[in-house]
Amino acid sequence: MTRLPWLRTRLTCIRGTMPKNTPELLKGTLDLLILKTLESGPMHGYAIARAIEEATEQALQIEEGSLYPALYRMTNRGLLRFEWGLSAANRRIKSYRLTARGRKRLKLETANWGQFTQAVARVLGEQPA
Amino acid sequence: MSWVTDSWMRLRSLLSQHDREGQIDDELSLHVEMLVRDLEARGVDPATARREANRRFGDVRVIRKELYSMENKRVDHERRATYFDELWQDLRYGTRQLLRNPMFTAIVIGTLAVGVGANTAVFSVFKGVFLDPLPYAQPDRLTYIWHGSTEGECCGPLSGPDFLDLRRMTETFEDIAVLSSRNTNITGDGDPVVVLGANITPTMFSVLGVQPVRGRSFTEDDELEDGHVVVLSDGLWHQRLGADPDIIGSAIELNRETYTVVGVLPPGFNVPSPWRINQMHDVYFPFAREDIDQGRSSHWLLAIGRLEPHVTLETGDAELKSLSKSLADQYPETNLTKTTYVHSMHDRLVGRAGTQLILLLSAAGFMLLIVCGNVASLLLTRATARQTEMAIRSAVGAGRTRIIRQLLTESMLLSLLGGVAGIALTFWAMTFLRASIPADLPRVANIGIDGAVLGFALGISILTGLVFGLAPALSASRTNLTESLKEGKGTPQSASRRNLLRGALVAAQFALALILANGAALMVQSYLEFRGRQQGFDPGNVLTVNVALQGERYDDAFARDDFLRQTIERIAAIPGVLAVGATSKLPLRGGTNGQVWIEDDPERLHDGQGPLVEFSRVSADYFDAMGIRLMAGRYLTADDTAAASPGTIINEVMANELWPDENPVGKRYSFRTDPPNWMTVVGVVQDVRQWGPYSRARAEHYLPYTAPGWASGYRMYLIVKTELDPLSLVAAVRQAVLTVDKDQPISEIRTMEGVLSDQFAGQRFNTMLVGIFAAIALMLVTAGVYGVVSFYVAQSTHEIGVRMALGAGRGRVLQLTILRGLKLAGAGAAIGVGGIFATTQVIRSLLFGASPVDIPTMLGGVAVLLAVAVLASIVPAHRAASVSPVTALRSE
Repeated sequence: MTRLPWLRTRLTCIRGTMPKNTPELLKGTLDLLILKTLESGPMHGYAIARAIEEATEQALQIEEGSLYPALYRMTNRGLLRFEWGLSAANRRIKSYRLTARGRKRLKLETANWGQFTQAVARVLGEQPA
Repeated sequence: MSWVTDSWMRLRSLLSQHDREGQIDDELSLHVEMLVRDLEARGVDPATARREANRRFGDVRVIRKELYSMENKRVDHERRATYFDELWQDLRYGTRQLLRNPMFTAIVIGTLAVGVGANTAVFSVFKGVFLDPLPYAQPDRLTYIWHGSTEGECCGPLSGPDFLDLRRMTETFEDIAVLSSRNTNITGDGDPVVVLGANITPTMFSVLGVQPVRGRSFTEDDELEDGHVVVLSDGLWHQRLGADPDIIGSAIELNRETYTVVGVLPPGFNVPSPWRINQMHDVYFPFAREDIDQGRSSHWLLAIGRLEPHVTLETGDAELKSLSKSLADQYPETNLTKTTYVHSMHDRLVGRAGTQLILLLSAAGFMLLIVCGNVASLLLTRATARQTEMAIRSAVGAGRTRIIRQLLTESMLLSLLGGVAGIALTFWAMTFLRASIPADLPRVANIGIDGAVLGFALGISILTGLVFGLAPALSASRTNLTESLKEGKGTPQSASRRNLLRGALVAAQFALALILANGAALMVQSYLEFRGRQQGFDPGNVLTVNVALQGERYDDAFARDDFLRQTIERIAAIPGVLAVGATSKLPLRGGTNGQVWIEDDPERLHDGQGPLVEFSRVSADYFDAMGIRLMAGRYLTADDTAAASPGTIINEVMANELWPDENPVGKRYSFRTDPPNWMTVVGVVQDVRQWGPYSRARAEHYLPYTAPGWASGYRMYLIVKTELDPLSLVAAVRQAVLTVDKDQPISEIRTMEGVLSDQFAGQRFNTMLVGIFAAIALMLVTAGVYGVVSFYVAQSTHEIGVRMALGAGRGRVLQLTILRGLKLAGAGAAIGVGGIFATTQVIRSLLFGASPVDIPTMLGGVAVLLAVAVLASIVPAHRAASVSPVTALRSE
């Protein structure tokens, strides 16, 4: 059983620069990726986009703008909070960090994700490729 | 949500929409710029870098729009959450405050409960009687159609032919139907009983928009053949016939004749007659066509008309008037001065009661205002005690609106609790009201506590909460921070401002109480005056019962005479009975009148305009039983009937009007001119107020009921003067009647004391309510003055100490303090006197003719208020006078 469906995100697979078989992001995965990315510490939106890009080694690519609605929504739900700081270029920049609740959610979603992928893998494993 | 995030959210919510959107724009554009910069750093040329960045970011405009709307929605949500959070806080805090001062809370809630309860109770009566639409289809199209004269006299029943002509010709009325009520004896199985029946034209039910729930309505056929069919009310079907499901088609014996039941009406349905308020018709008979079509000058039909949709009352009235005009041209000998009047059914049935109830409601409203003033004073006093608390609140950042809101929440809490207690009180008050509601108040059965009444209670609770809460809240929020914290109490300025406000509140209460008390005093005076009037008969120990002789058996006048004579003899033989008489109409109940012509005045005999006199049919012993004193001549004897010219008794007014300065005994007069049927005056009795205690006595004569030539003796009241409690003889009287005729029911069993008392029921009800309101108002005002003067004493302990130290004696202090209360009362009384003059027109209709401005009463009211002020000031004044100067000065 998975708890993923509550996360409705706007995610698209970007074709073109990617190899043809770049997988589409599953619905809701973006939130999990953001939570995981912020686990290491506060980050602004741009940095989150880069971190996800790096971590997935560009296997998954997201439309970067769609990060923001996810960030705002998660902030509103109390999973994230933000503060204003100054960027290297001395501009006001908003950085996000996990709240205690966000951390808890990350743990839960990670576990769920594991179960989900295992279950899917089991189903796929039974079928001849 | 954790507290920190919570606060973060809240703070973000404080930003203006413009700022919020600016931040979103900044965040998004920074992202794109960083993307461009990184791409350029990797050696992409600027133009391509920007294009690539835009592509990777996606559509900025779409994302921006989405974020805007997310933020706005969130902020709205937060604001609401904040509001409810604060409200919840305020409520919890308010509840704690109220629990901390249980005495204060109880007093306030109790006071409010009285105000809300009284208003709700009166409103429920007003709504049930007046506001609720009449229980018929589209009741606003229903009207009564009256016969009247072109000179402006109105409101008699229609004649049959006139009704038929109007119904045939009208284009503004969908239909017109007529009714004639008559008492009906249900005979057959069980004890005979009397119910109210009515003859109706077949379309009466459809005019009212109601059809029988069982069986059928009347048809034109019923009108043409005398089929002896009836439609019954639901009440009769249930009570008398045990809700027999096979009732349709079965037989019922009425007036000793057999009828077939063809229909049963829905529960509660009645064809309403303004002459029989609160009486239900239980049996409906179809009119036979030839019954109606007789005598254009005999007026006896109550007409109900349903206007065509969208036709106004005025249009309908104008049309019928012009139709009457054409009837007058056609039948000048009967219709020359006739016209018709159309009245709204609702107005006619409940309009007058509505006006009086509105006045009662205003009296209750006055009391509610006094309640508000009183509670406001209490809250002000408490606000002073809580000044430090308010100062601390504003010191930690609560704004003025925030404090006002908190205080208003507290007063709302109080008013709602008061409202709930008031509703509980209303339920209790209703049982009390029901017991004292006059029987002639229309639609009494419709009075009750329903959703709308509860809504009204809630509404006035909220309104009172605002009214009494606003002034104290505004005043308390205007706290001087530093001063309050330094001194631990208010600044002199804020204190004096508050005292002024409190004084004004008490003065206003005085003014309202004076108006209310003055009105109550006038009503009591008027009531006592009318109640104390001589009515012209002795109501003590008199029982009256009605016997309505019906059916073929009594078509013969001798049979009726036999019945009455035997019955009277049997009743007279009952031990404890002093005298027995019979009359065709009871005193005070209105009556029937006709023109007479006197023998000695041949001129007047022929001008066709004899004086109008009341007449009753009585038995010889009627005057004895009713205690009507003989002034001249003699009472009737049995021989007066037999004589060719029957003997009659007249009253003093008639004697003076017809035979001024002459002895009327032995004079002759007649009802008719051609040929005259002479009657001889044999005696003069004292005047009886036939038209009720509020009207003067009119010329009246009494004929022996046995006198030949008139169809009388059908419906007579037996008058039984007894030694002891008259009601203890009811069973014996009933038995006497049944012995003479086993099928003859008796009805309208009353004592004459009761008949007399009923006449005052309306005035008594109004007077009692306004009196209660005024009494409560005076108590509240007493409490108000006491509060203000006590508070003044407590506040000026220091000042009093100084005065006493400088040599002012106890008496002087006492005097000063009482003067303080008197000043308030004086100011209030001055305003109140103005109010009395301003409201004269309003109260006039409750006084039955007494003058609405009565200087002695008004001065009495002022004196009472001043006395109240002195009384209420005495206790605190004594407290002030016993202040020890040393303690007082040290207390600062």
